[in-house]
Amino acid sequence: MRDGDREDLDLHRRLTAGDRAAFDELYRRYAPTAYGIAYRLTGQRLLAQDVVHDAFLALWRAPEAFDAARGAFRSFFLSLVHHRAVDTIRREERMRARHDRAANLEAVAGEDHSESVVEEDFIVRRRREVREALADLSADQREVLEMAYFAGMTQVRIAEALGIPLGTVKTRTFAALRKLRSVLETED
Amino acid sequence: MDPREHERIDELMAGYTLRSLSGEDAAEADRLLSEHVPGCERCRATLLALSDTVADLALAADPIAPPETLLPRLHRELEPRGGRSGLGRWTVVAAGIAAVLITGGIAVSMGLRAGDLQERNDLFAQALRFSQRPDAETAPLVGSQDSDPAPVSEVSAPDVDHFYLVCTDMPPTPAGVVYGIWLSDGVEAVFAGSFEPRPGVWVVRVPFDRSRFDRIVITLEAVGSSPEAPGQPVWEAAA
Repeated sequence: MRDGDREDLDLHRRLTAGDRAAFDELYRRYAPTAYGIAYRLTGQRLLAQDVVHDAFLALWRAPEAFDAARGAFRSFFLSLVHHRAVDTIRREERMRARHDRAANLEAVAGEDHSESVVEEDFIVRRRREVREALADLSADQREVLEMAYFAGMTQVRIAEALGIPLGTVKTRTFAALRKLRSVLETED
Repeated sequence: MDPREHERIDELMAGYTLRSLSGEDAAEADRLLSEHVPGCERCRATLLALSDTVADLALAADPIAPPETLLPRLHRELEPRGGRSGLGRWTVVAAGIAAVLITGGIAVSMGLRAGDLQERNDLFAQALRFSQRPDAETAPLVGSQDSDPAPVSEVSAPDVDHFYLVCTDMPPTPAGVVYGIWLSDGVEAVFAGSFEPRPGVWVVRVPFDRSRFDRIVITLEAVGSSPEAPGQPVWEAAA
């Protein structure tokens, strides 16, 4: 277990006991990443703000939803944010307008908001590792992951958009995640 | 199991962790997650690894400082936590029996998957016919904390062994959390069941006589739990 994960566990334990300072510390650690991913998916600041607000409020109201036996707190919370963001954009039915933008990594990468954010060292390190691992994927693999994760598209819609069989989308997606996993595991 | 079958499950789990399944694939993943994965060490490990990897994809997006107003807004909404629920005076009656009733009794119109279409239509039709009874009443629930109108209304009639909740765009719950239904007669509380929210309009059939209870509360509960006391209250209504 990494140091950051250990600290997260302690913060979660304190939060479960009603410690607001622990809530604030988890907010300081994860709000910029949460807001960044929510904005990347929704493309709208107000929607992104609602996603982050709802995720942190849900964490406070039902902290027992996190089970340390099922992985790191970071994984749990960022999944929670992602799921809420995906649900939001599907509900808003604005996916088509966002797809061109969200699926284009270069265009998004040009918007560098990170200068004003101060993050824990372990998050900065992990962020670099994830980006390098993504860059190592084949273009085909990266494309399906970005359409699923950053544009919130279903695999059926991805297949339609790319004009490829659904089975190919499934195979590429799993291969992409398996490769990412193998690279990131060696970094742990 | 045939290795090719595990490859098929791997691919489904990958789509599941990305929240990108729909239709028959989503239904098949739900089935595997309840029937196969819990008893398969290989699949449990795969699902955990995939979940961790997908979660890390969030780090590929640029971090952005949220608006300065967001944390104060959250502070205003953080309720004090003194143990579970603000329904402390409630006691629980026959939690085990209630759990049995839930499993066999509660019905939810899913509304998303083609395979559930008939069930969904049946439940809608039942709720509509029920609402047309001369003694039926429809009443909205309100927020437990703020008394704001809730995205759920109850349709009930006296001395009938069931009633309906009609839900419209209920907000999603956190991962691992579902909505719980609690009923109270002022002395004891009964856990009537739990359900996951779905987009759009849908119906929950609750197998209890609403007129026996003077209060209904929708709470947040951990998935798969048989709670012994109400979780965080979200919406409620008195008789």
